Amino acid sequence: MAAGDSGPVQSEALAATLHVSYTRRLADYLQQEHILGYLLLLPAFLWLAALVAYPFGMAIWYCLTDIVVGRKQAARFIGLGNFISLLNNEVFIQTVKNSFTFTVSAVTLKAVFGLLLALLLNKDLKFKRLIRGCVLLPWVMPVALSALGWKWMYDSLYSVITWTLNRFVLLVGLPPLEINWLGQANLAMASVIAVNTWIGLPFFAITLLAGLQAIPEELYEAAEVDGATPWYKFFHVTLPMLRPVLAIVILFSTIFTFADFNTVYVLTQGGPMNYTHLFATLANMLAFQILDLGRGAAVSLFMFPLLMLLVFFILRLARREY
Amino acid sequence: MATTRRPKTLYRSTPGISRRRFLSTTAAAAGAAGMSWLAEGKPPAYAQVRELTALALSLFAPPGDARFGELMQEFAKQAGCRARFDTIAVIQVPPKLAAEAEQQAGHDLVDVWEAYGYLHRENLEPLDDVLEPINSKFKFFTGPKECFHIDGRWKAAPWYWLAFPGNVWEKHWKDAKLEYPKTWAELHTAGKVLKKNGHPIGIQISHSTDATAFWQACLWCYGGKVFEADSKTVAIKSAKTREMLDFAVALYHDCMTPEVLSWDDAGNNRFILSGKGSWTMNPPSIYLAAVRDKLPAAKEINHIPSLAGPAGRHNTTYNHGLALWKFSKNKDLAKEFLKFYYSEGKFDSWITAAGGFCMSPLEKFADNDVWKKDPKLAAFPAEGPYIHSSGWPGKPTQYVAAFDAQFVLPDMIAKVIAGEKPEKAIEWAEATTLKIVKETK
Repeated sequence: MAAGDSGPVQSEALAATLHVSYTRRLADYLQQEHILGYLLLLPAFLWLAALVAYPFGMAIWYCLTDIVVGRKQAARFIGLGNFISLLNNEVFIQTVKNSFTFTVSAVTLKAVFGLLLALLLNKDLKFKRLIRGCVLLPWVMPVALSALGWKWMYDSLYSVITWTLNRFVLLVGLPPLEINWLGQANLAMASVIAVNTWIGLPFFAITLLAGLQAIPEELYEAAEVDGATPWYKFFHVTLPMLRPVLAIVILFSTIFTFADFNTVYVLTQGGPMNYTHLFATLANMLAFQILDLGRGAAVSLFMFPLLMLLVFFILRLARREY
Repeated sequence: MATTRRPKTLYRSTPGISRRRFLSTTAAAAGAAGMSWLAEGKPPAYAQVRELTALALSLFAPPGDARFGELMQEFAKQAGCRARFDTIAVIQVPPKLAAEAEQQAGHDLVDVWEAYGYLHRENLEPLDDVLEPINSKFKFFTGPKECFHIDGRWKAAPWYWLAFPGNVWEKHWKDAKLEYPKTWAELHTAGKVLKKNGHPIGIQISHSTDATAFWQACLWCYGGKVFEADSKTVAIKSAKTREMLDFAVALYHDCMTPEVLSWDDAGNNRFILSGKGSWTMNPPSIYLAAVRDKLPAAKEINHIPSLAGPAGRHNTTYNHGLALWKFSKNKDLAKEFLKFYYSEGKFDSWITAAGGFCMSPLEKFADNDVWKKDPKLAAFPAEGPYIHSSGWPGKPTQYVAAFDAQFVLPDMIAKVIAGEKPEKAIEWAEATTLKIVKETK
């Protein structure tokens, strides 16, 4: 009986000892930095692998094949066939021109006006926090929603912009304007650039504002002691100190702007006459409307090498010390 | 001082059962239960209730969607399953279809229109066993049948087609003392007067789906075509196309305002609803929206027959079909639903609910009262004999899909409006279409 009674007690004691031993071994194991570090990185790595690396790898494979959405037979490897086909495509060439015009113009406007806005917001204004919050609105709103708002503002019948301009035009006795914002090639491009600038401006402004606030006040005081003018302070203190932040913001914005889809898709669908087609809208058309996934992927990856070069140079610029 | 760890057990009332033992026992039990379901080859009882799902674009006549959903629920009750009807915006449907086809998973029944039936044909379940009896009983019209009877099989059930007669603002025509036009040439003559009166006419010359559809109708009326009957030989470069192009540009300059160059598919709706426009082509959605919202425009808008040209009267349409994915897990259920839906009292009730927006592909239900009760809708069923799918006299194939998606036809007209020579614009359109045929897989 006694032996029988002590059985469970012994096994519980053994279990407790083992438990302590396992816990201690695990703790010892985790205390090794190289193991804990990798373990902590693992969730982020898996996340990136599943949501970034895998789709990216698939896109690379797709663009080298003749894959068609939902087609049963296996995709054939065709090398650079899709890219060669695109380079002989007039719409694609137009899209490349459009994308550069769109990105260079929009990023330049966002950088210039974003910096001006950041300088303004850095002043000691009344209702500073409220103004800063309001400035962020275009950026936090869903892009498709703001693009729809702009579509009404550009509408041929109900455009509030045309209506406002006409108030002034009528005042000087001229006939009312009929501006076809989205129907003329150059005007349509200018219109979509304006919307992209409006949406992306707060990103520049708020990030540059953070950069401005990080500049030590002593530098300005020293410049003032040396008799520096406001312009001199801006070009020799503010801009050099902002360079790393500005470079990163321009880099991000360039990538986002090249990849913009919603603005053009909602406003013009690439029209008139393909003068506002961007890589994303053309890729969408090829991949989802005519199911040519291979060429669609090739369009979306066409800019990848160039963007990699851009990333390389901008990051070098950001690290450069004077 | 040495500390002794208390063995971790469950609550004292269950002496001798450790947490580890509890977990291992319950896990084993759960595993055994799962294995038994696997061994039986069927899911547990709670998972046996099947769900029939359908996906379609949101109709411009929402009561039609509501009625379709009700019919699905009615069927589900009879069949002892669940049913779900999802509607999304028209522009979201093509990517959604592509995603489902690529994933080989998604809804059971999907809304395909025009070339999408052909594009997805490899993934669509043939419906001959369901549709042949329906065709014998109620007879499908030729147009919808040609669109979805692909490679000798029914690849989708013709669901509805859209009619595009003329939409007019009656007062503008009365004020100008003009008769309604019967031909494109008469429209041109009347349009000049109407534009001078401040009430132009308008159809899209832009990157919008309607633009291709409307101008293709005009092209057919002038005897032109994009593809030959084999659906592959490019036929856009012709004297007929040149004639139509000259007419289209003159119509634009004399009767329209530049806003048509920027319109989306709803641009002409807004144009008529605003009271500015005198004429456009459209289904009854403009009028139905005015009636629904009790707008004064409802009194002014009316519909007139589509126009004829030197080569006769032809009009565009969008044929919609209900297709069943091959990878659907509820094929039998979906087929039973189609039999249930295409029956008297069901299909016609849906046509009625759609308020005249959806035209019946079945002759039996084409005479619905919905187009008789309101005389302003009488022009719609009369369009039936004149409608063709995009790509006519060929079928809406992948080449037609690519031609439409690239807006070649409206761009050809827009190029001439922008100053390019007509012959150059036609050459561009031909070269682009040839490239489409060469490159589209």
